[in-house]
Amino acid sequence: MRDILKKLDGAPGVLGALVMTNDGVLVAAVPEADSHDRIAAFSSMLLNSIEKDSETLGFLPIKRITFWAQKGRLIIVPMGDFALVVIADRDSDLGFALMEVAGLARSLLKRSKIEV
Amino acid sequence: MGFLAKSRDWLKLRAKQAQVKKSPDPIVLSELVQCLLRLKDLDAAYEHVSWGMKRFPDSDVVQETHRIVVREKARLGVQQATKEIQESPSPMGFMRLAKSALQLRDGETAGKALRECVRRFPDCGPAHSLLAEIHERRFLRDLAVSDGMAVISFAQKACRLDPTDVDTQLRLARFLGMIGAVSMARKLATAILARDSRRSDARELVDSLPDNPPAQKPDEIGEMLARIEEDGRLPGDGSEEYRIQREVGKLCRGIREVKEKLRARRSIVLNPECEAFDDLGPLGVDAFVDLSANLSQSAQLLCRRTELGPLRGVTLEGAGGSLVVRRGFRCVVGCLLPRDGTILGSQESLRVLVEAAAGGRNREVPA
Repeated sequence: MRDILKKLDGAPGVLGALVMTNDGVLVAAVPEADSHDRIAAFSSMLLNSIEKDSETLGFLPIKRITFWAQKGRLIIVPMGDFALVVIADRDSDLGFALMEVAGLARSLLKRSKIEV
Repeated sequence: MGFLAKSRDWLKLRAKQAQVKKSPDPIVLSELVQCLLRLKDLDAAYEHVSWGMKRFPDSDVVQETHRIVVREKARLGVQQATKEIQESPSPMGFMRLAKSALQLRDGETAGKALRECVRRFPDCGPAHSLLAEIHERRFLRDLAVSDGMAVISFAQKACRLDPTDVDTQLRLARFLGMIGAVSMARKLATAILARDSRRSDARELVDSLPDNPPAQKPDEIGEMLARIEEDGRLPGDGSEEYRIQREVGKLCRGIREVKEKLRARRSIVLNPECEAFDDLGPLGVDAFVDLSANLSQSAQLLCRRTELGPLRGVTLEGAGGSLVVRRGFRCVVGCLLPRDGTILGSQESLRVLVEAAAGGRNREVPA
């Protein structure tokens, strides 16, 4: 998780990032800010509210949700029991940073799986 | 401009001036004004076109020429005011810059100039008043709490700084009435009338408000604005229904083309009540409609609470396809893309659609 946040910290256009559990508990964040708890709580609420319909439409697992707002973007990347939330400016190209994050997330998921 | 071209314009100018004097005509007047513009005599051009507006008030040609001259004047005004501010910053310079920028519909420059003005000259009442006006326009567009609060705060400060500025007081009273703070609006309008009973606009406002509204406290304003933001409509706005219907109609007419362009499986338009429509008419509720409505509402809340401002759009990328949602002026458009569909450019296509439906209004202009 820390590797992922480290990759994002300081990436062009990234204003902040956090990792949270699916029920909205903040695990880690860069940079430290009070608002991250609130973001985690609302992101979790959103993920829960769309879960059922996403399943019906065959969207699961969700790869990424991007929100475009007047002052910036918010990107949620679900990673198993956790979710990564990236807060970014309106215009920067985050393609490369997010690709690296996706790779890290995949390897993290593989490692955390318990083989029976 | 070369010497020859300039000489030609001078000759043409004399001829057109004589022609306008002899037999005034909108076309000739427009040609004369264009000649003056090419010769960079903006004042004379403005003088002629203003006369033309009085002489031929219904002429499209004169109106269009007037618009061009006003834009040129505003562009020059921005240049001059910017230079003036750089040399010796003054409240008047900032105000001139802001007003010229507003004439060019450049809310961003106007807002920046005014914020800098109130930072450097905190006692400048007109700058606070104009900032309130800009935020009011944005509030009417986005219905965002932050803009509503900014309107009240800037207008109140403008009124404190200049108690003789009755226009700002009246505008504040109208705004309070519009958002449902009727008792406060009534109190303010009545106070204006008590000072000057000849103000017919204040009288009209008092007459339009209910007689004995329940008393309201200033701290209830935030709740009222939050309710407006959540509902997406102003209280008691009778024309709102019509505006929504018109927007739904326009979006439904344009959505088929976007659907084909994006090769979407389905596309819908949602009104503020989350009723779904497509180009063939009203639709029932299913998982796609439900997800689009849910996603746009939750996302709106998330963006507001995380201080990212009003939501513009959402893209959900899943294993079995994608969902692209875009917020319009009051309504929402959603497109369901297949698994192999490309989401690149989908937000842009929907942005063009919702802006066209909102009457070409540029929703992205921050003030």
